Amino acid sequence: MGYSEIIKGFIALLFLSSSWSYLGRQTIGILSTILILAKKDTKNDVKVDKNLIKERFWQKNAFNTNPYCTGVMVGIVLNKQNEIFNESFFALQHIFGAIGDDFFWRALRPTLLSLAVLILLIGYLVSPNFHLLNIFTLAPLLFLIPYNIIAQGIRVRGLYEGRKYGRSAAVRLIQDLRKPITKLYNILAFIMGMLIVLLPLIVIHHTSGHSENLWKSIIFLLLIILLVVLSYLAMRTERANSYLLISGLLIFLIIKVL
Amino acid sequence: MRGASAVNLSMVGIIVILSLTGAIILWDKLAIGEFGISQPIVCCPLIGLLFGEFYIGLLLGGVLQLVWVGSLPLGGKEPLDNQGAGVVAITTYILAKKIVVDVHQEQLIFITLLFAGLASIIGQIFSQIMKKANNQLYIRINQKSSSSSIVATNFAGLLSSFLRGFTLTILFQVLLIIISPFLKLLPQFNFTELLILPLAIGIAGIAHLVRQRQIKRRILFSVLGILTGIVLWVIVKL
Repeated sequence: MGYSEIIKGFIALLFLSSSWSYLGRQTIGILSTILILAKKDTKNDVKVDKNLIKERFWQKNAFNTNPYCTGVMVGIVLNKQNEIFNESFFALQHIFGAIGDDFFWRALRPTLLSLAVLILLIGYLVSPNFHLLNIFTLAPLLFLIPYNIIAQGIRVRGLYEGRKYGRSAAVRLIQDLRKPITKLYNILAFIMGMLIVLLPLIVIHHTSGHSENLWKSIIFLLLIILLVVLSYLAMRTERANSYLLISGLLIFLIIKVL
Repeated sequence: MRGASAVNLSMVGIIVILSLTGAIILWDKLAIGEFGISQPIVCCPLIGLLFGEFYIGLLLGGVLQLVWVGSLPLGGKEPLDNQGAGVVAITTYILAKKIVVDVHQEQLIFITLLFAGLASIIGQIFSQIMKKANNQLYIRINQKSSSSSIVATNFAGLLSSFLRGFTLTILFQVLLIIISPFLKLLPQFNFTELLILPLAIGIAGIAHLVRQRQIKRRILFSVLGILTGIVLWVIVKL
């Protein structure tokens, strides 16, 4: 697989979820990626039968997996077309869906996003004037760069290795994704701990101008946090954050007006 | 009259440019690549940088990222649209700075936070509508369709995604224009007290995350983080 094919495959994979629907999920996306690459990409001069691939994917409708892990599945089909008749090939979507959710959505993304917020907060602590350009203003890059190196790297690696080694590449990728999850959870728990203590301290510091106001501010803040946390946990709805933000701001407005 | 129409034209121009920018950034969420540029901590300073409001973008991005830190897109469910919330917050702030006069920055931040909360819910509903609309794309083709029509259908999905982002952004721009005469009536806010609520929700989100099985087991690391935070605070403040 040449560089131009890898770049072409990577670009095609970027549009995997463009036509995501409740009925077909990623079926159109993965099919169109395979069909784009199957134009020229054949191994040992064995022509890829596009009609056969279309037929099989339509039989197994509603293909869906973690978007970053699709590269390896496309690679496997390009390596050996007959893999699509193997039930275990379609089972891979569920395995990558589960492990991809764990690795990317539960571990990597929240860890890097929280790290970026934490760095921004530390920057605010060191220099409360945001207008003084300092290194901490680059915090968003702390999320953006490592996240893309890992996530897009897995796309490309999956495509390349899947094409070259077939199903063994999928096994290797699963192992490689599973290994760092524990470490990422440890880091996330550590960052969460830091955020839990730094957020109230920053607010207390800014609301208490004089030492006699300090205890008032602490009690006031702790009450608000307690109220918000209890409401959040009691709501038991996915929209709790948004409802709390809207209702809290409106209550705050009413108090201010009165 | 000519002056007024020129002002209106430039206002329409700004709204269209901001909505186009928002829609392009929101492609990242559902249609192209999932690079993460639509996450509030990235998109707010990025759009802010383009329109000369980098620092307020950084602040809004950091705060809004915290608000939805606990909501994760797991198991194929449609999560709250925190990316849409970030885009709406910064674009409405930029528009407000250009069209509203005699209103304090804190009052504008109050409105943008309120809009962000609403946008996260409306964006979620729009995503569900978009995915239902994409069902038609799936129905239109079948196993007999040519390869080129399958590829073209996939790219057609970009349009529905673009429309979703554009509609979400422009909706709140128009809403801002409608309520802009009343913004002066808002009371004076203190900047810090305005941020207490989002930060408290952020803490609630973190508490929710910590309650999850995977993090719960790592209480030792959380305690270590708390101690490190206290030490850091003491070092910086001494």
